[in-house]
Amino acid sequence: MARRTMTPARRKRRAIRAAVALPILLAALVLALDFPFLTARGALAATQARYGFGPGEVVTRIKDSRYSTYRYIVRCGDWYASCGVYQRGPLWRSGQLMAVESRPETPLVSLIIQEQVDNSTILVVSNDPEIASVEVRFPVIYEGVAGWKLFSVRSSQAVENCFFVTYDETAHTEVSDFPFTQIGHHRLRGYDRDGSLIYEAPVPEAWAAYGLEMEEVR
Amino acid sequence: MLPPEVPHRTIGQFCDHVCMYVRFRPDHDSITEELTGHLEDHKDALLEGDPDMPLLEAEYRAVASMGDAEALGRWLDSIHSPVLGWFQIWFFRAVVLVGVLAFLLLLPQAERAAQQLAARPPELEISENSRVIAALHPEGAWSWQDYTFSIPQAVETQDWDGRSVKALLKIAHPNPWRKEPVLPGSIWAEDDLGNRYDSMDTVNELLSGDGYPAWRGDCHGSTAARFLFATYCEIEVRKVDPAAAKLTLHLDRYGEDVLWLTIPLEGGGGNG
Repeated sequence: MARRTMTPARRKRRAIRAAVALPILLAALVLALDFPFLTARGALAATQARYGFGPGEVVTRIKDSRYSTYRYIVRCGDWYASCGVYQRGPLWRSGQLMAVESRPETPLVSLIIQEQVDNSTILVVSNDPEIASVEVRFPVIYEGVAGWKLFSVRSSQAVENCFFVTYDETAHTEVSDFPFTQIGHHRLRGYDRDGSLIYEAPVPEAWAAYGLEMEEVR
Repeated sequence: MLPPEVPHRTIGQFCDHVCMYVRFRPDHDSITEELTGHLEDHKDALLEGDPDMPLLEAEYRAVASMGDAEALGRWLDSIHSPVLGWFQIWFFRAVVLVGVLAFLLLLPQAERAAQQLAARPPELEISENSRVIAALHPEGAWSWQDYTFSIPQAVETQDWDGRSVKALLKIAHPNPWRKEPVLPGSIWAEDDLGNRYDSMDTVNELLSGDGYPAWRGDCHGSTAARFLFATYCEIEVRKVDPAAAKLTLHLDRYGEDVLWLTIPLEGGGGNG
């Protein structure tokens, strides 16, 4: 049977049928893709909604090109959250959210925002405008050395009152064990612009298990 | 292109000349078909009037009667818009592509998609060690942001741990992009006697520090089923005070108590 010639009228009817089918097919596509987002901000809003946070004001955004993720630091009142969103192709998905409350009576609070094999980051929120740099102290074991010792990582990299302290395992191969990202195992310090120590958090209770000498702890 | 002074001889030549002035190439076939049909009809009419006329002459006369091919071609070009025509073609192709993509992506997940759309609510799971002593009938709903909370099913049970209340918490979310709220672990409860039953998030925090008293009740929540427009969570409040007559579920969200759902218990009659 000869193929029917496509006339303008036939083409028009076909386009109308396609227009009717398009919303249904798009709905099926969205269902198949499990409701992705077209933008990172859309995924961010959904992540906050799913966790019941905010919506907060974005303080900064950190991009991890290795894993096609963005990590947003958002603020809602006294609460600071780290919000991850993931990119898959041109589409985005909501991720996880972790939050910490920054109380005025506590000059520094921390939140672990990135935990990777060779690169971990702690967010330190400051309530003291005099603090220009922060330090995170935590116990480590050095290769070939018995017992736990204290190790420090310092940072003056700040966005507004948020400091980012990063520990790069590949840069410290002499260290074989380190609870950098274990909650309650690190101690915070704050320094002013002259480098003087102006705040030090109490010694974490978890340090008692490490057998650290008091001289080192002070 | 034929010089203007050379007359067209055949139907095919005439149609080709006309189509030269029509920019939208996909319509050339349909224009040729229509012109050919018209010219063939005219040719047949001429032959009917003069059966002795040679076929070729009848064709030449039919073609000559159509007039100027260029004028006809330019007029046809004005009504066959290339912009609209190409838009219709590419729009159809795009829709076909969307359809093929949707089919390829949806087919392996047909079962999941069907379950999401069917949205059959789960049943509360009661362990063999527990004895159901009362079916409870909490009423009402609570709305907060994009979510509406309600309890379609709740029971009171008795086991070796004492009195417990199990509830199926429905979290409705009309926006499917807000599905799977991460809330169950933060839900805590309070009875009418002032006893607090901490959420799993709080219990875990205390367990990693000072510890959680073994005698104290708690509130355990977990997601039971996820659908497009609703998420169901199983909430179990354990070691409920035997004298409590009411239990209220709460949700703390970053310093704000955003949920109040009360479950009336079957009296405070103790161990049933």
